[in-house]
Amino acid sequence: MGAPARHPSSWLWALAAVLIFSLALLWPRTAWSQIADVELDASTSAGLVEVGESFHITLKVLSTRSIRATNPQLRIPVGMSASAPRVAPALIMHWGGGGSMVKRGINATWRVVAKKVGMFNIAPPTVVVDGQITTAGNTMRVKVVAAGQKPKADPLDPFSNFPTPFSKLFKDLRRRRAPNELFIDEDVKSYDDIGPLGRKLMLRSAPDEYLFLRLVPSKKQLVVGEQLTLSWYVYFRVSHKGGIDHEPPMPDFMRIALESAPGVVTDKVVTSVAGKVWFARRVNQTAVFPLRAGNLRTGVFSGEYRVPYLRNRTINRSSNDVQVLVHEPPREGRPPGYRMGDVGRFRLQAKVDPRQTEVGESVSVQVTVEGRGALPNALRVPQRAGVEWLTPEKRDDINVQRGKVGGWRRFGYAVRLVDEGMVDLGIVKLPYYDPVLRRYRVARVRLGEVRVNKRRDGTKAVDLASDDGDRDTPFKTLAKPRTSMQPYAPSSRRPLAARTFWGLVLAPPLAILLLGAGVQGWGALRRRRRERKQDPATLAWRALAEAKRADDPKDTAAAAERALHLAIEAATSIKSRAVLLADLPDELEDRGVEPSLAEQVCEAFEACSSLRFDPTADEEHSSALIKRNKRLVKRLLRVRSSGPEEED
Amino acid sequence: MSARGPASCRLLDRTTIRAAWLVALCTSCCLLGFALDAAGGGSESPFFRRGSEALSMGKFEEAIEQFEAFADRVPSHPDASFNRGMAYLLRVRSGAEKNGDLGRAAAAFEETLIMRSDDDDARHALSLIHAEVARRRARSGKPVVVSSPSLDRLVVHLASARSWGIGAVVASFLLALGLLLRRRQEGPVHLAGTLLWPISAVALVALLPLTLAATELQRSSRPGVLVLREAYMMDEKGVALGGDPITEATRLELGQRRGGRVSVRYGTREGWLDASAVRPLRTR
Repeated sequence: MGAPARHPSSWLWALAAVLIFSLALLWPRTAWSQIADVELDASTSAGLVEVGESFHITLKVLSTRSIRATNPQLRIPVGMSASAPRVAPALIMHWGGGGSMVKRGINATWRVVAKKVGMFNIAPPTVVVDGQITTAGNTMRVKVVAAGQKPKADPLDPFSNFPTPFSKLFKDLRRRRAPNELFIDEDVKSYDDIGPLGRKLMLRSAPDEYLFLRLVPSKKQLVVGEQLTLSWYVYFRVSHKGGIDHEPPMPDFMRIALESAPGVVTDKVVTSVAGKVWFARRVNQTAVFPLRAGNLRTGVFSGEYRVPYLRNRTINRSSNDVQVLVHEPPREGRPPGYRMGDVGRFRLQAKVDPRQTEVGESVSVQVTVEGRGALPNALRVPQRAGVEWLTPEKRDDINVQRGKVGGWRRFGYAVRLVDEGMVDLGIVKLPYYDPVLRRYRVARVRLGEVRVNKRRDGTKAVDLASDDGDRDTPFKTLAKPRTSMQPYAPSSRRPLAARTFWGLVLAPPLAILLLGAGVQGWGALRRRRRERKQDPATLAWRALAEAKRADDPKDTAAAAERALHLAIEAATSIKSRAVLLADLPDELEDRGVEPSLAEQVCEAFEACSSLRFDPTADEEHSSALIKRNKRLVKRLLRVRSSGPEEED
Repeated sequence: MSARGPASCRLLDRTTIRAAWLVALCTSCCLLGFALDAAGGGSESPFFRRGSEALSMGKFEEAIEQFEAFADRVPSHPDASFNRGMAYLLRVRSGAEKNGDLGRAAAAFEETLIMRSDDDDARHALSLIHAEVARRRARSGKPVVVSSPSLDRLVVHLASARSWGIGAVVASFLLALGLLLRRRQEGPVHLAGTLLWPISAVALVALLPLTLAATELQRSSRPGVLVLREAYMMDEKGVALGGDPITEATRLELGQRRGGRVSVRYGTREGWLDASAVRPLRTR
């Protein structure tokens, strides 16, 4: 019988399986090649440009098969402008692997000019490939810096301005040369190595050892409405990650961002803080306009940073609080109609359309303010009777050029005219203060005349004043405005000066009180003097003096005796003349006089009598008597001053 | 010759001295005239003239500018303030009214009355403004807020600080006179003194605090007018205090200013308002 014959169906099944397997292997490859066959790539000619500098964005669409690529489009962010794409066919041939590969397609190139500083993300361009919109998958980032701020080419890498195969090599070389950036603790060896910006940012002391924030104002004194540029810096000497988490409040300022993408805005610059090498990086920049006068504060901004050097610790830092002195523009020379805050340099343009209209209809008046500074939010229009200015529509374009805010703002008014004839719309004036010239200027534009015709339909003009029937009613009885200034002298009456007032109030009663006290005191003095004149003690002394002066011993004796009597009267109130000499000692003792003194007094009286009747008495006797009596008078008066002696 | 020489020299000297005196006198008069002219606001008249011309031609916007510029200058003038108020009212009448026009007009008329208290036109215009504000509030269904001043302000404002001060000085003199007359032992003079001194002492005791209060008020506050349709008082931090609003053209007592706010007293209520909501009045 031999080998059993194979069943034809099984052979066919095996063949089918091989075919299916082969197809299964081949089909996805073909499908993938259908999709991946078209290569799209978008690239920029530069990643860092200056404001006003142009660069190119190129879209390459290539395929190994024949494709139809049309309508390339690029969406440009605000702050950039792009030309129409220049489309050119592209052909690339690759050799290798024993064969060659040809790719065909198009190159679309746009010329882009940056107008603002900031970090821009440019969406990938699109192109229609065989009827389907296709997008190149990569988003491009372009950093735009202010004119003149672009770093110069790396001296180590002559090709640093454009990518080369050697870029990585030079980058590695640079990295080896650079100090270890984890934490740099080096003294500044030569200040010549620090650039102009770094010199401006130098500080004498460091608020922090590793990282701190600093707000740098462009000026310290300015006027209300003048631009103040605040640069936000991070000073560091450790590598870090993080960013700003709180902005300064700045309640007294109107702010305009100068950076469209705050954060990592500029490259770091080398500077010196307390003699050490530090780096400073500007992370934001803001233009602010003070709204009022005074010592204004901006407040602080803060940030949170993770520092690898500090074992990845997160640190929070706050900036300094900037204080600026804001004053009003000078009063001298201030033009009428000046509004506080209109500071800058402006000019006006106007367009009136149409120049001919009918009574009650409106014309369009567009006034454009253009210039540098905070553009005014409102204009004073030349309102007058018969011309009604409606609330304007505003459009503006505010931009930043060389760090100065400016642009234009357009006020579109509908002006309703109710008087027939040639109506002069007047002049729009914008008084402003020029901080550069430090004087006021007035931008003005004449609006010209508009011919207002009668209405064709014959209806009467709409009188604005009669729109509201009773609008005028409350003020019908108003007086007319004054045509001249009547003589007027500002009142010079002011409250009395405090010193004058208190002087006038207190002086009269005090004077009277002092006068009364003086009169009383004088009276008391006179009374006392009078009493003293009649005092027996005084008279006793006077009698003694008379005794001294007397030439005749008789007179001396009489005066000395009188002195004794007066002294007794002063000491004891006893009128001793009326007392017998024999009774006198007892009387005196009763009044507290010592017995010995009483005895001596009596003896003195006797001595006086003897001297009076002694024809031989001479001056010696007289003086002895006076001495004796004087001593007794003293003792008696002492008794008076010490009071009566107590009896045992 | 020799005899006449010295005489003529003396005559010449005397004539020269007289001439010098005359020249000095004339120069002084001229300088005084210039000074008076400058002090009298002669340099301000162009603003008034231009403003009045604009007002007569219906150019109230320009008139307002001119009169506001006038108001910036020192010293002001009641007629200029009056015309400023008229310019604002003209803008109201023309239908081009802006927020606060009635308040600003009221402020201008209040200034006029401060400078010239017998200006009946200004008083009448002010009453019309207040009536119009009340009418507008009534038409819009809002209550008409009326607030009377507190008793202390009512009494203190009866006269100026100067008047109270002069009264106190007179009372002091009468007190002194009474004390002096009372020194007479008896008779009508003594009786007069006995009656006079206690009466004048009481008057002095009453007038002294009034003088001090009026002086302090004059020093620490100034009048102002609200130029918003209405405003609500708040505390120093900007939190509303509640209560009735203050209506436009209301006269307020302004105190210290801090930041963008100013302290105000209205009737018996005290609080803070935005400084832009009130217009301080010039008193000179």
